Amino acid sequence: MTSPVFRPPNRLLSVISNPNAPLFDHLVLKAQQRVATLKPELDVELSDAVDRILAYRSCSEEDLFAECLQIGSQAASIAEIAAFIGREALGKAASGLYDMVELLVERGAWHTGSVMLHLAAIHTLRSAVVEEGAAAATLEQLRQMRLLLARTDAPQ
Amino acid sequence: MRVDVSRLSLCAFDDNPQSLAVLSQILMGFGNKQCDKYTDLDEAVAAIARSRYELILVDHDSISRAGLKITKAIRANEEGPNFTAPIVLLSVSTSELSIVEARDNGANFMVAKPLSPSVLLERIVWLARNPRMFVNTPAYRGPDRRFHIAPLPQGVEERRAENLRMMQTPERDLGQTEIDSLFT
Repeated sequence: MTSPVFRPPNRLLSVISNPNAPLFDHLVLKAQQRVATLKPELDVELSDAVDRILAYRSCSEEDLFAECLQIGSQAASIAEIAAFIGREALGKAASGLYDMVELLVERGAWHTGSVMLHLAAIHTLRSAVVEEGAAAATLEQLRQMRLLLARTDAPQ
Repeated sequence: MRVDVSRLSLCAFDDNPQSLAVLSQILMGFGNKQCDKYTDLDEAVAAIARSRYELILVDHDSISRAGLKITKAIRANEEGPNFTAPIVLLSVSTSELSIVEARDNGANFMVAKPLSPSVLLERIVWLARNPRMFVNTPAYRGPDRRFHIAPLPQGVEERRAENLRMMQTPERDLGQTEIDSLFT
């Protein structure tokens, strides 16, 4: 019988064993440059994704709940793409919406009003002209609301 | 610090094509040219069961739970080519529950999305420099989860104190020639 605790071969040894390898910072810079080439494509994708998620604003409460996993998945996608192309505020609002769906998955708690508020924030923040201070205030209010809901829904 | 990921054989899964494109560009920026990329969960699981990878990067969120499904499939297949492979979950979901679940299902690391190239590369280097023991028990299969060495409670004596003192003394370390001389 083999030991239940053993040392497996280090599959990543080649990462650190080449003395002529490029410098860490050089690789990071190259990666950032390559990601930047995707910006036009990601801009279009972000706009489409925001359109799709905002369509849920006209849903009834029942339909919104029925589509919750789809909303969460789309919110995650927006959060990620927005951050890559420098739309942090929009990304954070979407990330907050994802957290609301996660709250449902993990604790069974669903708050239609809060989901709608996040959608409204995404609608406002999609405009690039929102003043930075106003965006920060909106995001902070959403964050406080989520904290309150998380505490309220915490298992006893 | 010098880093070489060019020769690593990688598997990357993300069900979102845009996210996978971003990850792909990051890896190419790192100089890697050997990455199998999948957006379909079943295809990714099949490839991982078939081919040996040196690192597996998997998107995870607590809604689709795809990352956990892949991690579980890898760690459940003791005869598979990637049973002990390092698995890094890339996740937009960083709730404590999600992280604990990832750890307890055998993932090596979780990196928060949106991905930062420097954070991802740091984690790869960390994994390369700090290989961990692997635990294979019915209750848990994956890298040893113990990171911290806690001090002994007050009044409890270290049983290996003498051995540890010897090991900490540099002159106790033998060179390879000296080691060889003991065998010949």
